[in-house]
Amino acid sequence: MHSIDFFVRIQGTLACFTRPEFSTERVSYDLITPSAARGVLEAVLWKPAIRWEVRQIALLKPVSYARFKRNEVNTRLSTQNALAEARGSKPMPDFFADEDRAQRNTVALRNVDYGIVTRFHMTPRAGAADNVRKFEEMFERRLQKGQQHYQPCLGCREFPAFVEPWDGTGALENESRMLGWMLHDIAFGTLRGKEIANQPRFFPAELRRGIVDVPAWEDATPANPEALRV
Amino acid sequence: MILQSLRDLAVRENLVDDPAFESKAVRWIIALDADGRFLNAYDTSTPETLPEGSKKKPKMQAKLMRIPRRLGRTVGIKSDFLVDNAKYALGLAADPAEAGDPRIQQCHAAFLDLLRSAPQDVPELQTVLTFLSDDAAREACAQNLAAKGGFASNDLFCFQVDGEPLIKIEELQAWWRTQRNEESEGSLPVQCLVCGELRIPARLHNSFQIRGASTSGIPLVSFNANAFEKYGLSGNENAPVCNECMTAYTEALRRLTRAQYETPSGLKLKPLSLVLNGDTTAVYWAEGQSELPSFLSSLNTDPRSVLELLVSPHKGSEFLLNDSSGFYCLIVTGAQGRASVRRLHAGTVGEVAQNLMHFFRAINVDRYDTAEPLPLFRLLGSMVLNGERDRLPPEAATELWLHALFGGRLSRSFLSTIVARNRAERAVSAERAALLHLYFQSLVPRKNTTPDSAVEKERTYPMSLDRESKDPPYLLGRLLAVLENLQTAAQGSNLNRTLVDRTFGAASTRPGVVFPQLMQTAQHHLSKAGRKLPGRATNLDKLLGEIIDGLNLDGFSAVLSLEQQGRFALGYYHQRQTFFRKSDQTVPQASAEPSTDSTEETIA
Repeated sequence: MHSIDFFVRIQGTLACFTRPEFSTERVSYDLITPSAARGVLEAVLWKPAIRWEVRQIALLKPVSYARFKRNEVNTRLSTQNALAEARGSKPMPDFFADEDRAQRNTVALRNVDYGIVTRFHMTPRAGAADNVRKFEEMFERRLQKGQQHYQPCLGCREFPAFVEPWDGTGALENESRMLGWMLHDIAFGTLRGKEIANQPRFFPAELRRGIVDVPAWEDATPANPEALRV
Repeated sequence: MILQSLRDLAVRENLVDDPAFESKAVRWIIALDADGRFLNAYDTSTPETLPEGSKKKPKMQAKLMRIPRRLGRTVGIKSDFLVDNAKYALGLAADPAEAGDPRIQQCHAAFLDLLRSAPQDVPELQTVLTFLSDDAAREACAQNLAAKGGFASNDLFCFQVDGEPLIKIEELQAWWRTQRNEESEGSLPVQCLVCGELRIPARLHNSFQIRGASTSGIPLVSFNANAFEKYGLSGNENAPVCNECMTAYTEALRRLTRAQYETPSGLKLKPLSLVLNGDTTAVYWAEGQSELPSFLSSLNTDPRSVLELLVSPHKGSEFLLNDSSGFYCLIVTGAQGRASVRRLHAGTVGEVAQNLMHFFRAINVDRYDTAEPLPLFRLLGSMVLNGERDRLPPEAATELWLHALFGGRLSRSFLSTIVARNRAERAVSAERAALLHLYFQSLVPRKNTTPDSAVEKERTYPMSLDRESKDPPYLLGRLLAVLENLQTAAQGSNLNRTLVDRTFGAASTRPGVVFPQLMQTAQHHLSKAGRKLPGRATNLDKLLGEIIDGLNLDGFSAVLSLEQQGRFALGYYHQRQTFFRKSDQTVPQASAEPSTDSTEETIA
């Protein structure tokens, strides 16, 4: 069971959809990835009962890059310590960012403007009171009013996204090229033995007359699906 | 996209025929006899062949051999098979200060362990083990090496027994291949982001050498701190690349960056990269068979060859401009732990050829040798004190390089570097004038993006004196050049300090302060010159009148902006160039230019 197609426009002044191979010194994909677009949609509306599927991505402004360096840090917060503090057993140790510096380069996108064709599917977690029409209307209402659960972003939290309805026009028709394998989404909760190991999945992206057709998640499963569920 | 293209390059040029082996420069061969006695240590290095007439001191280059692929190591002890540095292979330290370090013994033990795990029925292997367990023989070897001038800590050593190199023994090669395959077993297949198929991802990516990083090399893809990892994945699982793709793309990078590279079939290839400055290297390649990439590094010293390729009837012009095969350029800098991609550009060979034509046209400013295009190193050198390229602002060289290849606007900081240098040297050199042209030309939107429309009219900035221009900064620049000439006419040409030396900085920034005063002195110079060289004085007086007319004398502007300072410098340069030429000579502008610019239109 899926909804009607929605047309959503996503814009921003800076964006970085990091390629996994260059995610230490970030280099962006040329275009928003389906998973990043899903993140933006979920900021507008998400319930356990629905799952977003991005069907098409249209490029409305030519790709241009921006480069900068930022001071970042090398370590991650320890979950153990955070849990310990939450339980009240001992406080988190102090962390001084200037003692743990890493200067990292970013090749980001500048002035992005995308049109997204998307729909959602009902998930097994939908209850008796949930139906497609209800969520369609919720989404339309929220999109019109600009309501969001949290600030949607373009790849990184510091690059805010502006979301509005899209009339479906304006794709750059003279932009056609292969973009290579692009991140489709992450298969969350894939098991490796008994351990959970999230797995990225990629699809061959092609920009055709300003539009990338995104294969359905089920079709994007790589050749040997058995290996994913050991 | 980049990794895919690199992998395709490796496949196209047949760089990897056997992922378990690679071609590496090995400097030392330790020769043993059949009983394990030390015979000699041969140094395989020879001086590199330099182009004729080069004054550089030739570097020593060790011989390339096919050796078991090195695994790459970080801080831990991990030995390579059969070939390794002195610490591992012989248990010797390059630096006498380290001699007693227990770590060296551990390294050597690791090397021996790997040899002992190989099939023991190879007699040559036993001989090497005998030799290595004999301290006296090792001591003899150390003395022999010291007598030959010692070795560096990263020199590689290999063994040969009775004239037979160990790396050529088939049993050992076969064992190494199976060994490599076993290593990757035990993890689960994941979709590879280069080939898209379900494969076991490589745990460690091979390294390559690049400026700014450690000499032993660094990988392009690495996750060396846990802040870089995401979604609960660890290390290179974050960017799953299968072993085959990984070997191929790293081998392609090595082929592009190494000064000498030999393919498995013995083909010698020239690098396709250029060190721009400091730790920044441009790496580029094309997808087709085009010759263009192999010429690009000549932009630095011998741009004529590039220009000739572009306009040659058989290879260049039509042929190159219509080439729609892909062209890639990475700007890579070496850093701690990984190479970082600063910029990446993709286009087609045709676009690059087109942009290069534009570039050559835009830098072909009026000067004494317009037939010879300006090389990149001179252009860049003109932007810094004494031409020391290490002093260049970090992005300047990259910007110029990318502009030559891909077009686009040059930044204001680029302009400000040139303008500041003009002020500091109180002169506008031909190179800086060319760069100023390039800057102003880069602001003009290009109409002809396809080769067919090259006939379309394009607005360009004039390359030599533009008498029609009514642009005040340009006229002020011309005025300064005329005043300078007038001073020489009046006071002779061997002045210690001309009025330009005194006032260039102020004249180009705050003309309102300087010019009224200069105009007064000009009257004195005119009357003095009138007595000595009446003809020249009259001509200069006329020229002064012409320029002042154009300025329509509503006073001199108080302050000039950065762009205006650039145009001021151009006016000064253009006017000055005309004084070096006899009056009846026309400007030799079209001589070295490509044929397509016959329909240029000039703007003021």
